[in-house]
Amino acid sequence: MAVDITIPQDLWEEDREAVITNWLAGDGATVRGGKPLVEIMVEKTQFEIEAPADGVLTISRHADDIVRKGDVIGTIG
Amino acid sequence: MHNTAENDGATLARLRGAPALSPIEHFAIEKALEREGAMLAAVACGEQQFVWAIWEADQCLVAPAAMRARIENAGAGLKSAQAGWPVHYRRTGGGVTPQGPGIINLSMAYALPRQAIPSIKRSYHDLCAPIVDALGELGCVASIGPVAGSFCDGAYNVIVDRRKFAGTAQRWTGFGRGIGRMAVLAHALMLIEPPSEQMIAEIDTLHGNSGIVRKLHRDVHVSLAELGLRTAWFTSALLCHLQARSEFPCEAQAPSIVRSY
Repeated sequence: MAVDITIPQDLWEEDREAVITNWLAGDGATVRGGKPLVEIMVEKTQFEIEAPADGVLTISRHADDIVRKGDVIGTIG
Repeated sequence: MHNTAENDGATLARLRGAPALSPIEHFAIEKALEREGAMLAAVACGEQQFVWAIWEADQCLVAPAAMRARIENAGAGLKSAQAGWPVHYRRTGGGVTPQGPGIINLSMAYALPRQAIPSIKRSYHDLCAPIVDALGELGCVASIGPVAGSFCDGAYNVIVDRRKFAGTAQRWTGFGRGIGRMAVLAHALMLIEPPSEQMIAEIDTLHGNSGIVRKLHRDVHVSLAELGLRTAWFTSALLCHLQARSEFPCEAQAPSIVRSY
């Protein structure tokens, strides 16, 4: 069963959009849970989001896409 | 120009009489960025609570890693390097910044407890506070805000008379790793001397060669020299404020170690 990669609701307090700046693994790559997977930027602050599970990465939102807290940006299956 | 508000004469006299020991470390930019990474890692793994460094580097341009592909694919980085402004990449957000003579940097790494949702605004204010306070101690009224036309502009510059003295950026890591907190790397670039025409032109050129439409204005920046302040006075005041932070505002408890890293 696929696990969603979600922008955490509690990563930052402000109601601000973020931009995906960099996926640290490519679409279809095998990733490990707990390892940094994607970077997003809000207000010149770069955040790291870790992989929520082990598995194969499917990217649904790409670099330069604008995202909000709670958005699903990929899955790990 | 120079704001002479409530000047604490005794403080100013003390700072002006301070020994000329400089807390500024000089690094090759690669080493400085590596040092920042080590500071963040030391906090993320719980080895440190609050560490900082004041440093300067050789002439170059520094862009966020997120811009690397755009800059390198366009060949813009190579052109800048050929002009004497090699481009390096950092892991904090923001835009292109200069480094070199006339610029010093404050890097701070510290832990945020996960007891509440952390505030980006508060974290920037924690970075800017010692800079604002140090300027205030020297008689300059500083505040925090955006400055249109400045390099790497954002909502949280340190400004004096509506001109940018310091630009800021951050990197947060550690969420979801079970360490119960976030680790923050906060960086401020401060102007000792006015940015040169060439410095601004080189950033404009890099932007242009990378397909980024952005025009900078030199006169929206302000330096210590223009404020009539010596670097040693400012760094002495800044050091006092950094060392006095026995209770870091974002920490539930006072950090066990406060030192230069």
